[in-house]
Amino acid sequence: MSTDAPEIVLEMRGVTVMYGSARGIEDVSLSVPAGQVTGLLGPSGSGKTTLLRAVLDLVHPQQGSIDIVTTSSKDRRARANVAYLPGDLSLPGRLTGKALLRRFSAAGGGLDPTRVESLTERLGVDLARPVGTLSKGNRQKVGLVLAFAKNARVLLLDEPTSGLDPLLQREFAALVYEAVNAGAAVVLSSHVMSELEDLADRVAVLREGRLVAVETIDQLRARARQRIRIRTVDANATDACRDSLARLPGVDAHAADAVIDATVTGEVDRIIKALAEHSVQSIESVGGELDEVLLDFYSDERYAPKVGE
Amino acid sequence: MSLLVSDLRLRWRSLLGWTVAVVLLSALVASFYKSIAGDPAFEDIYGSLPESLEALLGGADLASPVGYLSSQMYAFFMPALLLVYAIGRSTSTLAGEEEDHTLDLLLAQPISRTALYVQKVGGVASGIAVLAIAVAVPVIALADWSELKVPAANLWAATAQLFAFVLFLGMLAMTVSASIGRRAAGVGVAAGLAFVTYLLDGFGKSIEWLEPWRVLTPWYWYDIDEALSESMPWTSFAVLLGATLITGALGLWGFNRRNLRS
Repeated sequence: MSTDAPEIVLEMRGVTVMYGSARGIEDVSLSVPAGQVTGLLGPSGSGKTTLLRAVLDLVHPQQGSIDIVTTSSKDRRARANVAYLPGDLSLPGRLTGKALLRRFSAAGGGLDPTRVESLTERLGVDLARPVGTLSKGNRQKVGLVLAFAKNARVLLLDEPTSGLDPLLQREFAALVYEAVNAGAAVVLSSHVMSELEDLADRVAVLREGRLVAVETIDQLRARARQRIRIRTVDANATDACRDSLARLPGVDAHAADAVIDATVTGEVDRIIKALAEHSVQSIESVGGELDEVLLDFYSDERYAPKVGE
Repeated sequence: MSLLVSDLRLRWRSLLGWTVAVVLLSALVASFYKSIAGDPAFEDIYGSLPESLEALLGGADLASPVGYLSSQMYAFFMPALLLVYAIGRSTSTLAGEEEDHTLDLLLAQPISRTALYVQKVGGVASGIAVLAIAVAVPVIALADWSELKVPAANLWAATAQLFAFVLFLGMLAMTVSASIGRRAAGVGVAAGLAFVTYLLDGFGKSIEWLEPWRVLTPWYWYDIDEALSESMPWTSFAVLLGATLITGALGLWGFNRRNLRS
């Protein structure tokens, strides 16, 4: 392997999908590299599913272009390189798992039989029963077999962990890692950060149909606001501490009795340095939630999609 | 082609049920001929109806094999029965799968919408063909016993007419439903059109100002009397198939350009 930048296996350029007057996605440009997990994050209705369905040409973009590896998404052959797990998975209930796999192979699904076998065993799927008689979790397993048995270059997984029990979630994470290590690009959508935090290398944030940020998890962590609780030796020290903290940009500090609660955006280094000259009893990190970064993306005017463009 | 096989495998039980029902009904109607043909009272009743009503009911004389087959089976009963199958089948195949959310995953595979559409049409057409044949087979098989004797060539001509007629309206149902993504729209338009044009064609036979409009109805081109008593009406057959092709092409265009519902 060279140290070159990873190959881009999914390239979206200025893609706009409109449904009548309703918004789908607008002017989305996104490059998805091989060997990485790209998270797709946004609240319900922000366009995550529309974006994935545009890649599959289930909806046709009015503007822009999408290439999968080197083939335009308008060409059916592009989908030979894509595996898909729909968010709201529905399967023809009367078919058994086996018949279903045959049906998708008939549509050119290109499922690898040995992969089917190993995945079936690993996930504990009963392929002999009609899928309509399976529980929701077990149906989702059939969906996972369909997606991961394809050995695709690009995996589009739409809210894949909903309906999976914790044990299966771990198995799912292992499958994602294996796919990525084998050189696939995985696109994982979710409306909660916690689902993506451990799996994704990068996160693309959608807001009202527009891409407002594409950042690595580390970059997002650096943005996360952290909450710190500082105990001082007496009331005088409390006031002095609060005053010097309040002077720092990006820091919000409130004092009560001998306790100061501070919220910090970015690095805490500045706080430690400012506190060094005061009599501090203890510093406690109350934690910072990555989810809060998202709230910023969703609520902050700076990230609001520009109207009338 | 392989998806067509998959579809047939998925739906063969339903088609088998329909085939058995059509065979039994056809055998039943054919076997009644024996008792009617020998009883002049039936003819008297039929002859006493007003001409326009008689025309609407299929007309012709009930006691002759051709008249009986036409009025009791081919003019209305069997086409109506097969239309129920065809409209149901063709609207459930694309629009139905879209409404059930199972179409997404199928079209996420490297198959073009055109290839999918053509195979779906093939599935519907083969089902209609099986049922159209199922109407004729009992009539031929029971002919010696039931005395309902019509040359086999004429029965196959009627079979071809029935097939083309039902296929056209089934195609219409498919076109409308696949272009909108709603099963009910296809059922409504095709069934409504079948009903309205049936009345138009029927009354057009006796109401003078309606007569010129008859050519616009599929029932006018469904020339069953010609098929049963003379020979295969190729022109009518070609008109029905041509209309089917045009309708099907429109449906393909409509289906290809749409954003599928999630």
